[in-house]
Amino acid sequence: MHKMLLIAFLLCAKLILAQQNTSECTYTLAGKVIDEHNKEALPFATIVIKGTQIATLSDSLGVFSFHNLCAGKFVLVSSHLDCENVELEVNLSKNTEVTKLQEHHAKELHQLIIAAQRSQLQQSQQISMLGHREMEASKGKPLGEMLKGIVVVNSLQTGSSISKPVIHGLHSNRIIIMNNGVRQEGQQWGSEHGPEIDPFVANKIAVIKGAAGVRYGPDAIGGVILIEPNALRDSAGYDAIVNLAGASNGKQGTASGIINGNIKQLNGLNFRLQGTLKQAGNSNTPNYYLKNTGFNEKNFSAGMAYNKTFFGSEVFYSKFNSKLGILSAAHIGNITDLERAFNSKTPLDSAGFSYEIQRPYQLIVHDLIKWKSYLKFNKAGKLTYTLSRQQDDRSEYDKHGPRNDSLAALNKPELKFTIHTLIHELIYEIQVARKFTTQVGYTSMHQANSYEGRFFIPNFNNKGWGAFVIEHYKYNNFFAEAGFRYDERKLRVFLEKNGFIKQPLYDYHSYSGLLGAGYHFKNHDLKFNIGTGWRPPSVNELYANGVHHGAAAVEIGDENLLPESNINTSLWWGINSINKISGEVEIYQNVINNFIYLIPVQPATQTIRGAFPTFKYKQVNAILRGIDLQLKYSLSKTLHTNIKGSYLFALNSDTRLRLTQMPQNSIEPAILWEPVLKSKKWNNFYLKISYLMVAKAVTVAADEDYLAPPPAYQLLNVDAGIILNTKNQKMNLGINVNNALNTSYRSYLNRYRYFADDMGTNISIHLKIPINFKTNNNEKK
Amino acid sequence: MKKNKIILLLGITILTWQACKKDADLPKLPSPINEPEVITSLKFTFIDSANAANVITASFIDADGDGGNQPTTFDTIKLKSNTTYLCRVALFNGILNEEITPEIEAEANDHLFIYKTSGVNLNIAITDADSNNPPLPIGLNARWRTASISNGTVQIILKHQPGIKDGTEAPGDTDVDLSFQTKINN
Repeated sequence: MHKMLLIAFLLCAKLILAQQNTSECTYTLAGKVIDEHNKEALPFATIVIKGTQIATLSDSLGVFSFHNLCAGKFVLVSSHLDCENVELEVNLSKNTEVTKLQEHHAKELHQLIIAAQRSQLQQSQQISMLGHREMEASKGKPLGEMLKGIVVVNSLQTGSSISKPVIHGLHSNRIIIMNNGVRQEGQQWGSEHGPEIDPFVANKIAVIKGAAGVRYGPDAIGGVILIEPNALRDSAGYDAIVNLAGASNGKQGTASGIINGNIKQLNGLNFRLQGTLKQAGNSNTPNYYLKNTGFNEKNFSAGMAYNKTFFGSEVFYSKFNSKLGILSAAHIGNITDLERAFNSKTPLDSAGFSYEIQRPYQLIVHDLIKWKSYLKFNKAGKLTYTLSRQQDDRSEYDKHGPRNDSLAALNKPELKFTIHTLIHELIYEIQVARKFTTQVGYTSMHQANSYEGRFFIPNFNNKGWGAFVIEHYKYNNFFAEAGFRYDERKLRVFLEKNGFIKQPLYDYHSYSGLLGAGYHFKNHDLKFNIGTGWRPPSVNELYANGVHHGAAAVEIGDENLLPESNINTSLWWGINSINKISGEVEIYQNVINNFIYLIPVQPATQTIRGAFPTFKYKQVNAILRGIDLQLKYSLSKTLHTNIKGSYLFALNSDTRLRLTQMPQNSIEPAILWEPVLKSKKWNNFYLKISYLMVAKAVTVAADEDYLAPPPAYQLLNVDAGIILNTKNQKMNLGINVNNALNTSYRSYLNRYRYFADDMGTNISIHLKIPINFKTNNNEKK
Repeated sequence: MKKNKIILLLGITILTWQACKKDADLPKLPSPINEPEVITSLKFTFIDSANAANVITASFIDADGDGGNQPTTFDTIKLKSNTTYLCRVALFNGILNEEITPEIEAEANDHLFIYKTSGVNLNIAITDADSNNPPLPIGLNARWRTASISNGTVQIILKHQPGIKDGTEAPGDTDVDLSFQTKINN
């Protein structure tokens, strides 16, 4: 009994090994790292052949491989962020089948966090995770930029500081961001409203592409982004991580720290404190600085948990605080100003380098508090409850303050939104006869939004609830799942007209469904998924009415819009290792009915500042089809080639015309070099050179846009990293160079493309220093 | 153990319910309108230099500002041929129901009106100046000298040029840009 307990405590990961014997020094050693607890693949574990400095990473399926090995005895060392290092001896002279490798399971809580967000089960919808390396390399960048490391996630940018993820051509309200298990609710409808999240909280960033409405509720017709922090400590003691990053463009500096603790005297009470400071000045294009594009962030989060086998509870608080400068040249008075801006080679309002942020700017404060608890019943499943409250304050300061001096002295925002959101979620999961797993859940949401200053969208109240059931079946290498969900949303809008308050009430309700299956073959995996979802129109689509200063256009809502609904079909093929090729290919089709879309209308709107082109929210039927691929081919054990690409075809099926505002197609070949280093101190070196080729966006009708899409462009990016391992200290070092050739280009999805070029060369360095407090480790013994 | 669980479940249920209840207190109604200072309306007043009793006005009125309701008034400027008028421009904020002209006058060093004619036989000369060094035109007051009978437009532009005023149209942002139909009759 005693031994059993010990094993249960120590087992975290198993390593399944299979080897192919061809001839001497041509052995291929392939394996899989899986989590002992939930049998899930552990991606991005580092596997090193001890003594040789030969290393590799497990891919998104937990699979890794070494090629051209000689016969002999090897010791594999596997390390993963969530687990402690494990070693496994392999004899490469005879065929060994399955070997177990034990890994200390340090992160009990982590499993729980994951459990709430995605079932521990295999899903027919592929979850793409941001690689460990990509994540390290993009430290200090905004979340939307980091996500670009995942194939086919694009970003809708407003300069370099505001970056919104785009999945398969959809963004903003059509994507849900799950921040630490809580649905992020801010003013996400605005294309220049970035997600209010500190990426340094995250240890894992993953994307679910396509309709994920059954599990995550309405709106998720484009996909879901999961942001998950690392687990809290489960063993007594303290540890810390310091992250430092600097970037040449904008002279940006970032410092972030985490302290984890587990207080022995308090019977396993865990805590974490985390904070980030970031400061950036004016960024520069190859030829000039972009005036007023600096930004800063001050973020803080704290978590505390108490976990036992049958009961656990956790409290999490985070505060996001950011001030973002808006390019002065992009704030437009009227069409003449806009045309003058277009005809100017450099922005009309130019500047040198400065950290100062002047008007126009945005000030954003986002508060999140979450309480989560679970109960485990021996054989009767597990119940998880999450309660969260968010407050998001967004203040927008226009280019010019009030003319009146005493009003100007108050420096009040011209527009301020405050939104409160309260979400409850109750989930029950039970496994029956080892083959069937049932997940049942209930969610409710209450939201209230109010504004001060100039009118853009009215105040509203949004109440909703939903219930779902997901059934999962697994038999050997086959699995299938089916799910169903019903949601209701009641939106009450408060409009003031001629001194009277009108309160129209919208009651939307609809279903979401999910059907999928997958099969694991020896060297590859196939998954098929059909998902449906829906999205009620958002308040800006119903009631927007005014000039958009960033776009010099009038946007008019339509209060009679119907909800969007979609059917998303995807086929995913994951290759573990076939003839030294590994990777994944996905084909998808997303059919969206009542797709809400801005369409130009005549006549233009006459205002005192001249006539503005006018756009109205209308509904069309849309079809989005595409292919994403990511393939890796190993030339030798140290040299690999990699190719990433995405193709999207977006059609308005009513008019048979292509949809605009969609990401461009792109392909990115890369070479990855991972030499074996002789030094004992330095290891895991890699150098990656990639060449991103982005095609020109689809040409649009003359009245749909002011300027034709910018031309195609190519960017050279260089990325390198190394781990320094001394006796007492480990350190991750990295450097990356974006746009190494200092190419002048404009990206179609950057809102500043009308006014200015994109960023020039940006050299960034990052440093990660984990700190272990030795004294406490000793105490543990 | 069992008992504990039941208590916990009960606790969770109560908390859920309580949290729902509290939500009813969240803000709902529009907060008092705190509109920024916008220009919504413009009015020309023409005084015949030969006969001060002969006063003509022309206005653009969009009382609720950009978007919302369409402008209610966009007059045609009707002037007599071969006449000199002294013209004064007045600006209003229809939302707060106040005149903005005094504020423009107070900040004359940062503002410039530009007049452009097209198709009309009309000469417009700005008669006021600010306190920049050297003084630059403002354009709140101008002399309009009509010639023969003609039809066309007069475009009036107000540029806000804080600290960057140089007497030309190029710098700054546009606060007003209106093209008035103009008729010069007998």
